[in-house]
Amino acid sequence: MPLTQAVFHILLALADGEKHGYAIMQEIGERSDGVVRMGPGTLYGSIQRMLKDGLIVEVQERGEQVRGEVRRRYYALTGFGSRVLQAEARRLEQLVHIAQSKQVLRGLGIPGGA
Amino acid sequence: MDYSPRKQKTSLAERLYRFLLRAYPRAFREEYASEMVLVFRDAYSAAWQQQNGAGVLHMVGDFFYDFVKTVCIEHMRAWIEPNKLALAGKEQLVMTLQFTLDVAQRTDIGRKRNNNEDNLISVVPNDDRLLESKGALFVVSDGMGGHERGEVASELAIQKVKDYYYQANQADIPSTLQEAIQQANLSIVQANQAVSEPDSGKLQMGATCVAAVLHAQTLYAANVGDSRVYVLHEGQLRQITRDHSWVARLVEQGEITPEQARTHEKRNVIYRSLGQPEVEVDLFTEPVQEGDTVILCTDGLCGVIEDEDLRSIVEQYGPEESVHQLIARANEEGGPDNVTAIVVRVSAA
Repeated sequence: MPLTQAVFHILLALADGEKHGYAIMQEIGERSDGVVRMGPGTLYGSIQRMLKDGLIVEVQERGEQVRGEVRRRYYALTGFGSRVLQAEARRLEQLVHIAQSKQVLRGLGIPGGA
Repeated sequence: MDYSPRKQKTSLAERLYRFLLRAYPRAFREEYASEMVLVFRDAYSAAWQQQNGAGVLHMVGDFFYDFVKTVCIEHMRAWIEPNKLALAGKEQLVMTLQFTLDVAQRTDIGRKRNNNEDNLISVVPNDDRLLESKGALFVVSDGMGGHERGEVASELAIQKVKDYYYQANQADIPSTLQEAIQQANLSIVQANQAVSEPDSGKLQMGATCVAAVLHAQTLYAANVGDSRVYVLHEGQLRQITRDHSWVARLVEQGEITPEQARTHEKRNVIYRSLGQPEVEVDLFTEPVQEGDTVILCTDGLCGVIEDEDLRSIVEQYGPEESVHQLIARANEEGGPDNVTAIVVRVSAA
């Protein structure tokens, strides 16, 4: 199943509630200390396919009208989306366990290494 | 107003970005360009507020890189997806147009009964995709029960089978068909449980049910009770379903002939019907070819006229004339029961 990095990051950003496009990008950037920098093309390209696959939905209610600006689109996880996120996180967790058991992380100064 | 230089830069960069967005495929652009401009605006002003000119350059660089990469990706997708669809569309056309179905259906009260407890339904979806995935469905049901409850039971049966069959998400046709009949059974059982009058025994209802799906080159038939599916193939009539009646078992064991079965005093006794808490649904699969005819009927027809009459009528006439002739023939034989027939001719498109 491995999800693309962009899809996984978007699912993760939406895990704690609905967000609009820029908020998703911002969270991804901040959480990875600026390592993952997703541009709008990647973001909306992924969003388009995630909508089609039923991982996320566009939420209508929110979106405060800011002085004649275009209404922002907010996105939220579907039940299916959160199950996929959970499954993917579990898969990655298992991989990290294997890496730990083989002491791959040791001496790299990465938390989680012995 | 004191930040007018920055404001101008914003709008210049933004205008540039807007201009670049035209490079995306039209559908993508129409859907997301305005959102992307908003994102650009936010990111641009955030970069100005947090960092120096270098931060802004960095951000613009990121956006430009993202732009170049995803323009290519979206164009490839825009090119691939319609082609995929066109291809799928063609296959679908072949599959659907492989056969045309000529369908006729008719039900008649007969000569002896006061009401018609039979029900029938034919569904050939207009939506090509539905036709492609689920095929065409035909259902016949013969209701039983006093106080006009038989009609209710057979109506419930055909509607529930139809609804469940076309609404189910799973792709497997035979098991969906069997489950659809199980659902119909459940509805009738629940309706029976809802009757709480003192002599509710009289109000208990039941029904036979036979359902057939034509999909690609296959006929799937599922049944409970003694309504039947036949196929006429190259002049040979074959009964596809197996009745759940005592006389059918006796015929199978060679104790009585099919002719004796027609007049046997226990000919109306069936040991499986909808309305029982547990019911087993039998399933039959049969290949069909161009020129074949599928017939569904209640025992008011096949229990009254001989298979040879059925065969010769369906072979001689088209579906519309066939159903009239079949019912007329059953009524000539006295029309002891309600008579129902669906005739489907399969021909090349």
